[in-house]
Amino acid sequence: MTQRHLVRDLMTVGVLTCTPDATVAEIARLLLEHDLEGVIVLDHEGHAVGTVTQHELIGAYQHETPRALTAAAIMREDVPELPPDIPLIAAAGLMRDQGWRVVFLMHNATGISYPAAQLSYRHFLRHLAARSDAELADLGIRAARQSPMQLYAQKRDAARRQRLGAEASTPTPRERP
Amino acid sequence: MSARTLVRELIGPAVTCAPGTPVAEIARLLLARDLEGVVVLNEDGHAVGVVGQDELVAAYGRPDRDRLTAEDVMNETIPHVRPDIPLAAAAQIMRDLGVRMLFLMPQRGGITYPAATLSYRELLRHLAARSDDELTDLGINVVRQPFPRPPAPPRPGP
Repeated sequence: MTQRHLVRDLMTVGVLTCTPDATVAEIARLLLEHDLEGVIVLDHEGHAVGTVTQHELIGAYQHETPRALTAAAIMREDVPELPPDIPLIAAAGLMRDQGWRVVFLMHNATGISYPAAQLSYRHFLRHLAARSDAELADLGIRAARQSPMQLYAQKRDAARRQRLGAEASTPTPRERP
Repeated sequence: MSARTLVRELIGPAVTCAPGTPVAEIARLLLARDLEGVVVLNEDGHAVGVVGQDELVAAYGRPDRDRLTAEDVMNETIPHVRPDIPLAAAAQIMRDLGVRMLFLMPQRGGITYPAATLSYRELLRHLAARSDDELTDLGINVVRQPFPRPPAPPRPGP
């Protein structure tokens, strides 16, 4: 067991979001691919309007065609939130009492409330399971992560490589003297 | 995909542990195998409880969590389900009971044992599947296969 005491020491910075018209099938795939408990629904102006968790997806089985339902139809219209500076043990107790498997940390900027980080049951399991702190290196506010500038440079370089690769694979025939 | 409408068509194998298994080990098992929980079997092979993610998060809040074992944290009620009810009914049972996994618990020779499970994970995979091919590892026919047949011994050469 390692020395991590506060929510901010164990949370994951970065939250996946979906649009209100994402389907149940798409959200289920997203959760399975990323081992997530839930996603935040953002409207077209970037405002968080709700949450879709595994619980809402399983609730969709009560409809005739569950896969075709949209986020807007099944979401809970709030975002379960906790502050980052409370003890993890308190957060675990609060989440169990409220029946929340995931909570989000929202960041307010220029009148918009953005989902910035998340903490789920999976985080507590990983903390229980960890034999050393190194196994949790990707968690917490101190975890190494790329800055927006680095992410931009990475995308730009990948696009360049792709363009160069495409040119290299279709060489123009040259005439030999 | 649409043909899979009964519980028995989507079940996966149930995983068990001993009463003395430490909670850290159960957490590792659940993470490694993407499970909602495990059934606790006693020495005679009787199912005596279940340890799910909820029990582990409850254990997380206890000061003595490093010393706790399955026996200390398990829920003695094992939520069970019949294999021949529709998935929608099983989903509703889980939501009503506030659990994320159900077990098929047949009785043989006086022992009730966990034969298979249906959890949120199988239901999510069902919702996510683009075709039935993505679910070929689930269902009663897969779970029933006893053990993989040992490889045939090499034939003596000529």
